[in-house]
Amino acid sequence: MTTELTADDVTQARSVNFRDKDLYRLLRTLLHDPFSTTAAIILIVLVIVAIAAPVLSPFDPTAQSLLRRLTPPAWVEGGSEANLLGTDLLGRDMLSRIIYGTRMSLMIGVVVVVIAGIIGTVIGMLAGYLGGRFDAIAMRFIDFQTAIPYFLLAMTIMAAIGPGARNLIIVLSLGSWVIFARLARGTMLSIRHAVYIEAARVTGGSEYWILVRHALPNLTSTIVTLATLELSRAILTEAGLSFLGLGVQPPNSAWGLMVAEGHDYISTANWLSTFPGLMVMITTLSINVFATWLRKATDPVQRGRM
Amino acid sequence: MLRLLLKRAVHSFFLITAVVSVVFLTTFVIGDPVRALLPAETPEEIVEKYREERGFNRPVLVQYIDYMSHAFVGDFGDSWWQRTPALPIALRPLPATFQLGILAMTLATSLGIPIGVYAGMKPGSWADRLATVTSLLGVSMPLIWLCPMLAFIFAVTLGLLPTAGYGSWQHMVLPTIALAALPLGRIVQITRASIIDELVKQYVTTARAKGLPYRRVLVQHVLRNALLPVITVSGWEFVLVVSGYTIIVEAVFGWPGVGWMLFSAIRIRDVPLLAATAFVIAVVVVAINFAIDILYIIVNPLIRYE
Repeated sequence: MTTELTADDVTQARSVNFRDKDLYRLLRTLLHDPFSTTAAIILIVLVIVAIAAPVLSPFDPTAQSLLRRLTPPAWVEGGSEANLLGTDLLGRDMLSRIIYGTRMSLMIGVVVVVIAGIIGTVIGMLAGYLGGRFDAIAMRFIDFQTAIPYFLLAMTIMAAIGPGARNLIIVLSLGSWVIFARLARGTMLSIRHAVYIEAARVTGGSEYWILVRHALPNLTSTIVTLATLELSRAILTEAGLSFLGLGVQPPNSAWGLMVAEGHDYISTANWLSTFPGLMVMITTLSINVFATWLRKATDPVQRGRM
Repeated sequence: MLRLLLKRAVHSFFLITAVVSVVFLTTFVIGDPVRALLPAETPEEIVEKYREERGFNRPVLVQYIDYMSHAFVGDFGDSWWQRTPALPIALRPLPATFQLGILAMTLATSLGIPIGVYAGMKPGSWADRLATVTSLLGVSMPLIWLCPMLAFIFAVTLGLLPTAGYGSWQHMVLPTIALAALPLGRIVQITRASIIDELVKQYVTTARAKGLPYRRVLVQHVLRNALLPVITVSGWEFVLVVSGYTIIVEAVFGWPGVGWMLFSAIRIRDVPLLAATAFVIAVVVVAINFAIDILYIIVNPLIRYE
């Protein structure tokens, strides 16, 4: 084994090492903050619920039983142990529907953030790095789209292309990518002439190499924080569109859809709307608490204050 | 300054054109307006006849130019539902939305700015904690849940206010609170951050060193600078209120405003009315942005003299 270590191997080894230490430090600061730790735990539980939905839900979420319709939650008079959170209008088990709703909402939110995040970051980085005409066109587009009332257009587009989870993902991604692009472009502009980028160029690094190995790591923390915030926004928008009947369609379960289904029964069977709405609230609140912590923890200026 | 305003005017014009174009694209190109207009079981030859009569069989570009040239003079065709010109129908609910929107923004700013200022002055105090909670709830609160919960608590359980409808002042209370909740959170957040940023600046130290009382420094120096970003954010929030939040709030509380009109137009598949309503909302959004720009120029001398 006499292969020589190249400079790249060294930087790579260093960067891996650095990241491990970083993660460990991050985890430690997280555990010092009970508020954020709670949020993180809730999020982990939600992800597990979403993944293990078929195992965890006591009933088939679409199984109807008209005999058992509108059973209240277990702790209310007339409720039963079998349906912990009661049943809905068609006698479907609320708990199972909420579990499958978690799966639907998180799935849509995560897919949207991944699609929008990748497209937005790539376009934003290129715009910031290349400058010139590409940047001008991209920027014009981004400016325009941020100024357009988004929810209005999302409703119109959903009405035209038809409701459903796949179309929701398309429309929500269309609304979200510009925010990633704007952030990526801004950061790129600020580091474009940084010494280490110049150094990489002088030593003969290709454009691709510079962008991926030198620029991208500098974007990661801000992009990840933005992604968490966008996840909460995607979940809220999805719930809103599903609530208006333009999103996820029955017999599927989605939180927004369930709130809408229960809306007319708010005075007689309030659990129909309360629990799914509460789930949206808990999810977005946990994400936002976590994102606030993440922003502080990864921002070198604020790091010292934690 | 005149040039700046002129530039904004051109930008606004293109923005409205873009919104109308997207509506045209989604409803007339992706969607099939004839199918939306006629019952599903209509024989094919009648569908074709209709298509020819209304000019839907012409090339898309010809249709687009024809459509836009009519749209520029405010002609979106007759509403399929009312069989009268769509634009006047779309304009009719505007005062109702402004009534709610302005009231909600007044509530949000008159509560949010004092809380934010106080929290910014005394980080870590009870006011600061209140501010953190308010702003977190503001960005996480699902309107689809807040509205039914408000209706359930104040209308169903306590019986203090009507659940939905339009008319007396009692009808306005719940929708106003629901609309104000989200902007309140953002305004508190931005005011607090802005005050913290300003208080550490050198002119504050100078003014204090001169012997000016703290209160006077705060009111005459700090507030003036700190409120600049607050104006911008309040403007954005007003835009969101009128073009987004109001759609859900009006749908839940049966408030006959533009949001409700947009939702109805989509539900009954009235394409001309949908386009006209989207146009009205876009114009309102542009007008608000324009007003904020002018206000910003007035209060910010740095821009004024540029």
